[in-house]
Amino acid sequence: MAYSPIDNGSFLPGTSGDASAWDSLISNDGQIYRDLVSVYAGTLHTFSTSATSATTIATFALPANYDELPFVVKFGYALTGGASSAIVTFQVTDGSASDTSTVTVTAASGQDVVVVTPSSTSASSTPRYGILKLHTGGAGSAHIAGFVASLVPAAAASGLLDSGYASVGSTWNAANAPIPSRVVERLQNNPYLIAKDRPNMVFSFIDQITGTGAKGSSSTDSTENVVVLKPCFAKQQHKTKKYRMWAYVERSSDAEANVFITIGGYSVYVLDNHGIMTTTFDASGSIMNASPASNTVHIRVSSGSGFVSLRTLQIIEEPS
Amino acid sequence: MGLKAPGYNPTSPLHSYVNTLPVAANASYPSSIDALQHSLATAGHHYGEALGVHATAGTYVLSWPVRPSVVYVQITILMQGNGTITIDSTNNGTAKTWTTEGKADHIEAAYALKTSGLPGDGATSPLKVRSSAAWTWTEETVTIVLSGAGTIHSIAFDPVWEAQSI
Repeated sequence: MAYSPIDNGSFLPGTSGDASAWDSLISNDGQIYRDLVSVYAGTLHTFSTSATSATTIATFALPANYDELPFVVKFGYALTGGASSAIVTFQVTDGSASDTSTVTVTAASGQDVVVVTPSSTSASSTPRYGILKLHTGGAGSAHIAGFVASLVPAAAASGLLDSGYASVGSTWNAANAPIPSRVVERLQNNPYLIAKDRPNMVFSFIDQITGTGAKGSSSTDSTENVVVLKPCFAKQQHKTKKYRMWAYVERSSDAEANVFITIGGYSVYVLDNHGIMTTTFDASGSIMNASPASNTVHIRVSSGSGFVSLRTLQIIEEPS
Repeated sequence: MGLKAPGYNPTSPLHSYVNTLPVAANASYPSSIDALQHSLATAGHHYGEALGVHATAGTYVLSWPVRPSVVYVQITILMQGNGTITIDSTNNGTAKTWTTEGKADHIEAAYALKTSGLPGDGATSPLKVRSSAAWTWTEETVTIVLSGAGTIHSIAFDPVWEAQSI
């Protein structure tokens, strides 16, 4: 079963409290909660290692999900050089606690998933983040060829959930009774509460974390701003909304980075740091939908020496 | 039964409606709730997304989540330099191909390539990602092949929201 659109003609003046239209709305409320996917991150890059112990290859933000539904990473993979297996570890952390899951793949190539159900970690206004690790079972090399991180929706638990959502029972609809205000309120608020707990990414760039000080495709040792990426965006709603910029910067030596994004002539930046660098900003569709060729991502060394490498850059809807 | 258009009401950030008293059974309540639900399930919550990459010649595969009622997705590619890009999906009868020549191979000279947003199966139509409309979520394997010396910097996926049968 899935969300099923209702013929508007079923809503007639004087719709009774026990009319089937209410049951349809209650059913769709539950189905949307059960079905609605949130897409957090994605990449087309290939991530490779010949390490035989778990090696971090990527990290990305996993915002909201106060209801602790499972996170999934769906990935393509390949084994080369005589490798017989690869072990993919997906760790979700809130900065202190972690939830971890592992999957072992043995085919020469294919697609697989690794799922983490949060239990130890907690959602907060600061996004949790996922760490993807990879190693081989012995000889050869393991490669992950692109992945998408998303939410695995499930039927709502009973009672009032941490997101604020609560299922609506259908036992209230006594014949000819007025509609209880709590039912109307619930059904009106639930869509917003679901949306708030399932923000989607707008943009996602994820490159391999080397951990060895090696440069990548978006690295510089310059103290002047260097354009490392040209992002374009899918069309966004014209209403002004809050978004989150979430970046992860690797460095060598003691270099710190400035990351600077220009979106439709609007500037967003995080300054003089490394590791996770995040901020929020407000933008409207007329900004996000502006000429794609004018958008740029700059990075530079702001202090210290060495080079800095942009490994992750996500722009995510920010509940507000 | 008829067609139902996508719902464009923004469903986030949170808006709250509070009714404090029992209310008479009035058609405005179920219809407004239905509009919200339809918006959340369709265009009110699921704008497109874009992937940033540094993709040189090669084949790239993505599993793209297809939203309820969506059959087509408009593709925008931000490209640097020259090359041939082909993008295809399992359900698409016509792969989308662009070949560019004479472009400066410099990041500041990146340019956009895009399909139209008008549903159809022509060479310039949006990419078909589902054989026919359904109100369920699904996933579609999208394959991007780049040949030549150019670099892809970003690929944006814009769902094309059409009215669909109910």
